[in-house]
This record gives sequence, C-alpha cells and structure tokens, in this order.
Amino acid sequence: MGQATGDRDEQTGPTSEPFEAFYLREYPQVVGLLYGLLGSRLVAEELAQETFLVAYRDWDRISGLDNPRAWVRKVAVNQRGSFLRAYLRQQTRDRDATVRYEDDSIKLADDHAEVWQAVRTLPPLQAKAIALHYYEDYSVAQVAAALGKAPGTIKAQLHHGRRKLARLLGAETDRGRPT
Amino acid sequence: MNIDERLRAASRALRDGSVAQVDAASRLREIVRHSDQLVAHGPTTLLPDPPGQPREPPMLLAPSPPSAARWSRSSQRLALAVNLLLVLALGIVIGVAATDRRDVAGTAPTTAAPVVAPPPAPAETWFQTRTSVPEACLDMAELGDEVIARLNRNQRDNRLYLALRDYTIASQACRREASP
Repeated sequence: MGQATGDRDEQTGPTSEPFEAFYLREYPQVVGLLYGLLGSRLVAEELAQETFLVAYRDWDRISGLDNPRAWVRKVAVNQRGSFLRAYLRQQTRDRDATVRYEDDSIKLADDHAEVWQAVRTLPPLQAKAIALHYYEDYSVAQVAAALGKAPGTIKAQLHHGRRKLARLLGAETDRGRPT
Repeated sequence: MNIDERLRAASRALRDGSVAQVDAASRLREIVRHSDQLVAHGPTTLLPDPPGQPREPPMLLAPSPPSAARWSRSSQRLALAVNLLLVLALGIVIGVAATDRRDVAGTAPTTAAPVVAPPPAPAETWFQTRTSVPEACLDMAELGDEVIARLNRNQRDNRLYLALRDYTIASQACRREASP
C-alpha cells in the first residue's frame, strides 16, 4: 500500500505569489493529472485551462485559501465530471479503432503508458483516488477531502483499485511483458 | 516490481512528462489575453514575448481585485449600450425628419405655381452593421450541435468521440481567434 505522504502538498497555505507564477508551476501538473484520468491531452488541457481561468478571475480569494494547489486540483477533477470522464474511459477500451491526433498524448514509456491506460479502465472514483494518491502523493485524508468522501471509502477504493490494476497488469505480464 | 511501485513510477513519469511537454507559457498568454478586458495585467516578467510580436508598454503585474474587473466589464457594457442607443435614436430622428419633409412636400397644393423649388431632401443616413465570426467558432457551434444530437440519441460511439475532439480543437481555435 502506498504511504500517505502528502509531501508534495507541504508547500501550501495562503500565498501572495502572483497568479502567473502559480500557473506556470501548477498548470502542467494539473494537465498531467487530467491526462492520466482522461487519456486525451487536448481535453485535459482544455479542462485545466478552464479551471485556471476560474482561479484567475477570483485570484484574490483563492490565493488566500489554505491550499490553493488543492483547490485547483479539486475543481479540476470534479468539473464537468461524469460524462467526459466516463466516455473517454470507455473509449480507451476501443483505442485501437480510434483515430487519434498526433499531439493528443503526453509521451510516456510503454510500461508507464500501460499503467495509466489500466487506471482509466477503473470505475471513476477508483481512478480518481488512485490518480490523486499516486500522482499527487495525496494522503488518504487529502484524497477524501478532494473527492468529498469519507476516508474509509477512499481506503476501500484504493484497495480495490490496486487489486484490479494488479490483475490487469499482471495479465500483461503473463503474456510475456516485463514488469 | 509490485503494483504500488509501478504506480509510483508511472506517476513520476507522467509528472515529468507533463512538465516537460506541456507549454504553460503560451496557455497563460491565452488566459491573460482572454481576460485583458477584465483585468489590465499587461505583459509579465515571467513570460517572454514571442519573437516578432511587438511588446506593449509594461504595466503593473499585480492582479486587480476581481470586483474592479467586474466593474470594468459592466461599465464597458454600459458604455456600449449607451452608444448603441444614441446611434439608434439619431437614426430614428433623421428618419422621422425625412418622412415629415416628404409628407409636407406631398400634401402641398398642386395648383400653386412652381415658383419655389422644393427643398432638397436631406441625405439619408444608413446604418449597416456587419458582424464577422471566426470560422472556427462556426465550426465549434456546429460540432457542439452534433455532440448534443448524438447524446440525445444516445449514440456514444466513435462518431461522438471524434465530434467531441473536433469540438475541443475548434473551441481552442475559436478562443485564440476571438481573443483581441
């Protein structure tokens, strides 16, 4: 089980930094998080941009929050939610038959891409919990706060998600791929 | 390598990949341009201007309060509405005046000797508004309709996926073209 470090979130708290600096640091990471969940860089960038546009327009308030980083991620993973994520996740199952734009991906080594593709086949809550826990190094409590669920629920989702992923990726191993 | 380690490694790779491959600076310019009418941020010291683009005079980097931005936007709208009303009122006044003069000329007794030539009709003023919409925005609207239609018919297949993608691309292009 992953350790509940949350260490990448230590540099938080109300900030007086300009929006531009915050954006340049956080935007690519939020795009990465959404890309991990959606599998489309274009859509991930678009959703991230909308999130940051909201932050920009209300920067005085948001920069005064306890954790602007967490606010941005919470809005990003919860906005427009169900349809887009569910649909694009569904699409990954038929990915081979899908025409793709060349610049619609973040280039990753095959084994890493395979892991994220497997994450996208999980139910939405499990996928989000896994992404926030591993990609953002969020603790169970932080994931629970971001997704508006009880910590016990998140613990169970992480457990089930990891088990399914092990099975999915283990099947790949059985077919001869290295782990 | 167990699943926990694989997830951590894949997460690290995605974080590094997104930081290296996502161009945040140009997207930030889009946000700033998009909101220029709301907040006068101006160029920032963090973002070099792209080559060939004239540099605007520097302004303060600190964001204005959102309330000021909203006020600025609403006052701009108010000014626009007042201007439109003035133009409309002027058009009506000119039109009514022209009609009255024509009526007066039309009801004048025909028996009167045509000694005095009728006063020249005032030049009529025509107002024509031409609106141009970027092509990408039209595409975006059409693709949006297509996506909605497919959703209504519950056609969640490849065609919807492609329409959604095209819509996203058109939407980005539309924003770029529509930005001042």
